Amino acid sequence: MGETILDVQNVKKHFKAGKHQTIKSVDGISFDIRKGETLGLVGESGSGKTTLGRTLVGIYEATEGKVIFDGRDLSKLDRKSKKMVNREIQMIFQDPQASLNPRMKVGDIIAEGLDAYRLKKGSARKQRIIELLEKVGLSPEHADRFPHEFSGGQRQRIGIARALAVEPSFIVADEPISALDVSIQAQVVNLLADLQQEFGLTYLFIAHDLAMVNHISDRIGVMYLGQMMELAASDELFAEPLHPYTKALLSAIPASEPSLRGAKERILLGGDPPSPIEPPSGCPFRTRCPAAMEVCAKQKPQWKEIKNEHYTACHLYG
Amino acid sequence: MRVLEIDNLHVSFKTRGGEIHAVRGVDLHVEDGETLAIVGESGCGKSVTAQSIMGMIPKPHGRIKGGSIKFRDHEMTTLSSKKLREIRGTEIGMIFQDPMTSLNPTMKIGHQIDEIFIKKLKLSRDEAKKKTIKLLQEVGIADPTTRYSDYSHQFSGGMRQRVVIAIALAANPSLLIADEPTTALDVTIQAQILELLKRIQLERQTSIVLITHDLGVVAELADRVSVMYAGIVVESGTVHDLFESPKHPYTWGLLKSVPNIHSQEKERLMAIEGTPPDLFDPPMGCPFAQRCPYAMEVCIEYLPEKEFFSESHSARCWLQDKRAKGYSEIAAGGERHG
Repeated sequence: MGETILDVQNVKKHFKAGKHQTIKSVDGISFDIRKGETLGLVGESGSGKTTLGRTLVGIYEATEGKVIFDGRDLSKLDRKSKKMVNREIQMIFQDPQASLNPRMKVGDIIAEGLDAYRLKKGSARKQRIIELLEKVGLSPEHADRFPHEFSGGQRQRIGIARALAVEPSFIVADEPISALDVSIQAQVVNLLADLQQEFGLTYLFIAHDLAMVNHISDRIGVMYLGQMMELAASDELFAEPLHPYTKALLSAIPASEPSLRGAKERILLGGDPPSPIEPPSGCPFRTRCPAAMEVCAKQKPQWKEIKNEHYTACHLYG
Repeated sequence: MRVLEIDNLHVSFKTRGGEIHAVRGVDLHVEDGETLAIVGESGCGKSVTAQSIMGMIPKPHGRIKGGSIKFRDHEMTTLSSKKLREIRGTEIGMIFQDPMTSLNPTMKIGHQIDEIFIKKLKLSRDEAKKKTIKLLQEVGIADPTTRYSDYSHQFSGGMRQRVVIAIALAANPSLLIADEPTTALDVTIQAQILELLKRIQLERQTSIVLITHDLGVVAELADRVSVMYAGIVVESGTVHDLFESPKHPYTWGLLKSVPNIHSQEKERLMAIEGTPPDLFDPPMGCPFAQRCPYAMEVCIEYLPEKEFFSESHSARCWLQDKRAKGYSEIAAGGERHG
């Protein structure tokens, strides 16, 4: 670990809403992802985590800023080299029901990438499908069935096999387990961990379940209203969160057992996140922040390394 | 006093593919002022159980095939739909997962609450408005006098759920049924709603049936827990029984498949392999046997009876049977891991 695979520099993604309004879904985010690590991305609905993930895999084009993958600036590539890079970056979606074509056989779904890149034909293609099915814990005869014949957890395995087919090095997993039952979530998380080890994969794991993100991630980034609020190693983030939003978020996690009920002080945030159409001036969290000061409305806090490898954007830290 | 007592409840649904046996002999009860959590995964029958209590099983496909549901002095399975409607919303309050489905988008929030005071409690319009504003305040809606005239789309998800809770509480019910009340909410908003439910329980002494798949919510809120699997209550006990000495392998599995945020070491999660059984043709024996790492021959063929470990704690598992020699160690070991 250590070598950068993805370098995100001041990325913005804005959407037009009506004639005069812009939704600033992602508004100036910088961080890097290192080879072989899992970077967890947490945030509540509307924080921009999904938009960021989609911008990184190239589903959306960044409005501003740079995404550099393995030394190549994604916005500066011609079509052909872009296609080659796209092969290395794959995505797993939240809803396996919506992301699998119901009219295609599972084998063909898995081979979509193989076909698009003309990697394998005939019996080699078939062989590869079988190999992938087995890798994700399904069996060869599943290739001839249709998605509706599978349970949610199995469908997510199909989505994972499809992503793996083109031998990517980097996978963005957007809420891959939130639609699944608890006992099935653990199966999928374990599978993702095994595959990472076997193929040296790098993950961006987007989720709102903090306990699960902590379990799977090496580092965690916390987003709020289109901005990154804090980024640190997951143990460090859970043990010593710096940003008031991170603190509130962690304190909101329900007790893991009844004996810990009320053991930690809960920081209850007032109100709801503001609209990304008209985000507050200065720090986006200041309207709900228990520690807000005058400067927070006037100036946007800078993204800074406060401790070794522990970044935050908050005026409390200079 | 028991507010609610369900005895050997069977509910099934007719579909084109055959009959689904969704609830297959559920027993449970709720004492005055306590919170009972019904935990389980999709399709385990927890929501169908809740719907049966309220007489809301969709007809004609769904049918209560047997058993009894006693709510206070009423036998709910034999009441007329008119009487059931009277009880719903007055003696039993309801909170659902998606607040938008329980609110009328074309009616001012305040009027939706007023209605209960006027129709069910026969108050005058002015009295009703006063009570509504007070209630909105109680559930944590800031500036209730102004918000009284707003429509549901002008509220955020968390605020809408507060309004739904206000509607559920309006007639001061003795039982509140909350079906996944925080599942659709973000974690900081979930924390707010959990605190609100705790406060309501404390101040009003309302009994709550909490349907959830989230063990964290159970740990925060429940006094007692019933764990359901494939239409059957496999274990039930106080929240401490369940978390500290679980007896059923399914409960062990559930507890171990959630990561522990307090442990520094990131151990591999203990996943439960396989998927729940098909309820078109439910298994004869223990429904969990197929996925259970400790299953014995007897488990495939016979459904275990309820075994009691204390007055409050029971489970249906052959491992706990005295005749299951050599398995008692597994049973003890499972508890320790739980």
